[in-house]
Amino acid sequence: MNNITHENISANTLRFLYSRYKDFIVPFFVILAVFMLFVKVVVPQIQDLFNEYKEQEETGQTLSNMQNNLNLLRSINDSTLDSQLAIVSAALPIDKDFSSVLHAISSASSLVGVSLGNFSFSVGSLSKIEDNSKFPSFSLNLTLNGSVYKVNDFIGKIKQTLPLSEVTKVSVQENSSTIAIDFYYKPLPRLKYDDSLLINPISAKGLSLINELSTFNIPEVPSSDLAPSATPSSNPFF
Amino acid sequence: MSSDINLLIKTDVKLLKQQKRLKIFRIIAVGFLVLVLLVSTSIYLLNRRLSSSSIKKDQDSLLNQMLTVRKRQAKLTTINNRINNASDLLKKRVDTHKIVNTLLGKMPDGISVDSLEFAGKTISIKISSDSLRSVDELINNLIGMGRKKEIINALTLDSLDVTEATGKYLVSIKASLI
Repeated sequence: MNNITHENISANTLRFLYSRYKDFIVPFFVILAVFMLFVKVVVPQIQDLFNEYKEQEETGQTLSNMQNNLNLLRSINDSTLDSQLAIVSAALPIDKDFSSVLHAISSASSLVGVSLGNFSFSVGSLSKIEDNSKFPSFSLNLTLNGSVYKVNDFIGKIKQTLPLSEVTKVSVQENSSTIAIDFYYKPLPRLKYDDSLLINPISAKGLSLINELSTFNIPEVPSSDLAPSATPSSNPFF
Repeated sequence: MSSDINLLIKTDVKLLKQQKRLKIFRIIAVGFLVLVLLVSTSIYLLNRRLSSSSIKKDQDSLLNQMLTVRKRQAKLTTINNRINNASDLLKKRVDTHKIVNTLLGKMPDGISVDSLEFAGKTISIKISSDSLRSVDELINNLIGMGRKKEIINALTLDSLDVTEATGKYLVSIKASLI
């Protein structure tokens, strides 16, 4: 009984409220719908607009960098670039270049005038790429026949010969000496072209280093040095 | 009876107020709707303008042009990489020639170098001489280098022998390098 009275009151109240505010219902729902529309459509649209604007700016920067890179690369002379590449590659080969090393030693010894004796390489693992260290190298133990002064001249000459090396051990005895030389190489990192970044031209410091390296003794490695020779060579290695 | 008590008039005022409120409410609703539509349309148009294909075309054209100079780019990147590494290497490598040369330069006349051992941070020299004065001069020279911190950090005289048969002084010196 009590429940029925309550239901009647509620129904009456609702009916009264409806009849009193029915004209407000449509505008109310319109405002609600507009609000929902604003939250669900307009706000994401505004966000998209900002994102698009940001993207545009980034694309503009990328285009500008690409244009600058293109101008830079077009202005480079191919032959100059090739000669610079040849010098720096001779200085720091990308892998264990035994041929260049042997030619370097042969050239340094003949320039100084010491005769070479036995030599041995410590090649290291052939299967593993040893590029973990900052400056990978392989060692060469070499016997030289000459006075301490001649040996020192040889050390000085090999220091000024490409590929870059470092004498790590010297043992000079009367007329026969042994030295250990580390020859450096450096594998190339995987080249990645990111056109959004500016390409750096060779810096003044880099050019000065190339000029310095070009004054080094760069022994020419003949293309046919692996071919067997019929006549005995003056080069102790070949 | 008071003439102010007029229920009919009061009802009209209330109705008018409500109608006015409703009108405002409707205006707000329609205004919001129009505003949202305008904003939405403007943003849509702006978005369309921003995402115009001309930039994409420029990018594609530049990318195509870049393809023709990729080889140069690779060479330049390689050169810069080699320069950086070679520069670091030249700074790091020990100048053995200079060390040995400096030590040999300190040898006075009448001294002959019998053996020289260099490894890591140590250098050992065995010399022989007919004159004790030359040996003394050499030791003084090396001590001077150590004091001036010129290549040598510490100096040890391992042995000083005399061979009676030849009358030669045999000296063995060990030096720690800086």
